[in-house]
Amino acid sequence: MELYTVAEEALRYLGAGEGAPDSLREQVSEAAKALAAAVRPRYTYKIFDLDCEEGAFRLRNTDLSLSGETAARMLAQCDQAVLLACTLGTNFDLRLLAAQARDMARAVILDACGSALVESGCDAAEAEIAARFPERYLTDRFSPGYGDLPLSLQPGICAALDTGRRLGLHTTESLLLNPVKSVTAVIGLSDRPQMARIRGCDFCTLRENCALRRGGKRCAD
Amino acid sequence: MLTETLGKKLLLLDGAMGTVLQQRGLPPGGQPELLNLTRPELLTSIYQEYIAAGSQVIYANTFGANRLKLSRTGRGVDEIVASAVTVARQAAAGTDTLVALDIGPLGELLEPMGSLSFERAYDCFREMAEAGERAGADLAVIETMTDLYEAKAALLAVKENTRLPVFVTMSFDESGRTFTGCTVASMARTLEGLGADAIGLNCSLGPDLLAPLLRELCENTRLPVIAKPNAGLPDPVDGHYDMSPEEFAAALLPCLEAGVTIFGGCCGTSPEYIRRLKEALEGRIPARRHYVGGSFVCTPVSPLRLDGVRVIGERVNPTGK
Repeated sequence: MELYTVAEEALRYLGAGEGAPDSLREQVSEAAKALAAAVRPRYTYKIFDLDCEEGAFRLRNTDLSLSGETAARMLAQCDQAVLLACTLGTNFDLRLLAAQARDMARAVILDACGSALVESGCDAAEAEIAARFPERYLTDRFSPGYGDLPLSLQPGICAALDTGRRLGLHTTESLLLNPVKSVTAVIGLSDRPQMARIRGCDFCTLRENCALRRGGKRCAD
Repeated sequence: MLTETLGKKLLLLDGAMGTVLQQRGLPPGGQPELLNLTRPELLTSIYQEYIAAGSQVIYANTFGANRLKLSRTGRGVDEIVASAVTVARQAAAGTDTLVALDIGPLGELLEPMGSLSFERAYDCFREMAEAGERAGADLAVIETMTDLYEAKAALLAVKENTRLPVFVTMSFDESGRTFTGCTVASMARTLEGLGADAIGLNCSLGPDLLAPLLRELCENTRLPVIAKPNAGLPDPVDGHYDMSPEEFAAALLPCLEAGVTIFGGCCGTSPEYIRRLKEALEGRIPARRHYVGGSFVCTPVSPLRLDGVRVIGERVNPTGK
C-alpha cells in the first residue's frame, strides 16, 4: 500500500497535481504542516466475525448487515471484517470555520488538507491492523457511499464502534458524519491475498467521469 | 444528607452497567435503557451486586434516556426514566444506597459544530431531570460529557427545575482535553461557578492516565472531586479491558492523595472492581486539598486567569470616542 504525503493528496483533491504551480505547492505544504501539528487524527476499530446469509454479510453480535454488489465483491473471500472510524474532531471544524470567515482560498486548501489528513489516519489504522494480523490479508477499505454500500449504514457502524463515546463522532439525521472530517470504513480480513478493488480504474465506478483520467492521470497504479 | 458529607467522607459509586450486561450475554450496541421495561430483573440483580460490593450510589439505567436518543424507539422519556429509577430504588430498598438519575450526552453536537441549539438541549435535559425527580431519584449525575456547553445546559436544567443535588463528570483524553478541546481548568472554574455539588472525570481513560488530570482538577476547584475511570484501555480485537480489579484499585489511591473523595468505575469495570476499591479505601480519610484560588474568565478551550493587567480586544465605539 502506497502512502502519499498529506500535501500531495491535498493537491490532488484540489484538482492540481504534477502541474501545480510552485506557489500553490508551497501554500498547501505550509497548510498541511500547520494542520498536522495542531490536529491529530483519532481512530477506533473493532474486528467482527462475518456470517454470510442470503447474499448479505452479517457482522456477528451487531445489527449490521452488508448487502449489495460492493460488499459482495469486497468480502467474497473474507471471514472477518474490521469496522473502522477515524476523525479529526471538532478542532478541525473550528479551524475551517475561522478560515472560511477570513480567507476562502486558504479555507479551500485547509479543507483539502483535512481530507488528506483523515485519510492518512485511516492508513495508520490499517497499518496497525495489518501488523496485528500478519498472517492475514486485508481488502481495500470501503465506506458507506462507495458503490452501492448505502449511507444508511452510518448510524449502525457508529453504534457498533461506540464512536460517540470513543471519538466524539456522531451521525446526523441526514446520515452525514459530524465532525465533518470523519471517515467510517469496512476492511475485510481473509486468508487469501486480496486484489485492489477500490483504487484503480479497473474497479472504480467513476471511471467514465473521472477528471484525473481525462487528464491522462490515475489516482493509483 | 448527601450534600453535607460530600468532601468530608469518602463516597463509593458503582461501576459499569454496559460492560456487565455484555458479560451476561447481551449484544453490544442497541439501547440498554429499554431493558428497564423488558428485563428489569436482570438490572435488579446487577444493582444488588454493586450494592453488596459496597456501592453507596447506584446510577439508574438512564444514560441515553433523552428525547433524541429515544426518538426511534417509540418510548417516551418519562416512561423510561420512571421505570429505570423505580427498578433501581427497589434494588436499593432497605439499604442506605442512593439512586442517581444518570444523564449522558444527547448524542448530537451543539451549535455551531452541530445543529442542536442550547435551548433545545436544555429542554431535553429538563425533561429527564423532572422525570427523575418525580420518580424519586436522590440525585442527578451528568456524566461522560465532552462539550462544556452541553454540560452547562444539563447542569442548569437540573438546577433550575429540580432540587436534586447534582454531580457533573466529563471525559478527557490523554492530551488533557476533551474531544471539543475543553481544558480541565475551564471545566472546573465554569462548573463550580454554575453551582454543581461535585465535579470530576469519568470514562475514556484508566486511573493511571486520569490521575494527573484529577490532580489538576483538585487544584482548580473547591468542590468535592469524583474519579470514575475505565478499567484501563480496551483491546480492539476482543474488547477486553487491560486492568484487573487489583490494579484498578491500586491506581486510584494516588488520586485519593490528590484530593479525590468520590470513587467509582466506568467501562470495563464490574462489581468485583468496586469490591476491591472498597477494600483499598477502607479506613482512609479525605486528603488535604491544594486549591489554587484565582479569578478566571473562561471559554471551554481557553481558561484565562485574571492575575494582572490583561489586554482585552475591544469593540470600537462607532462615534470614535
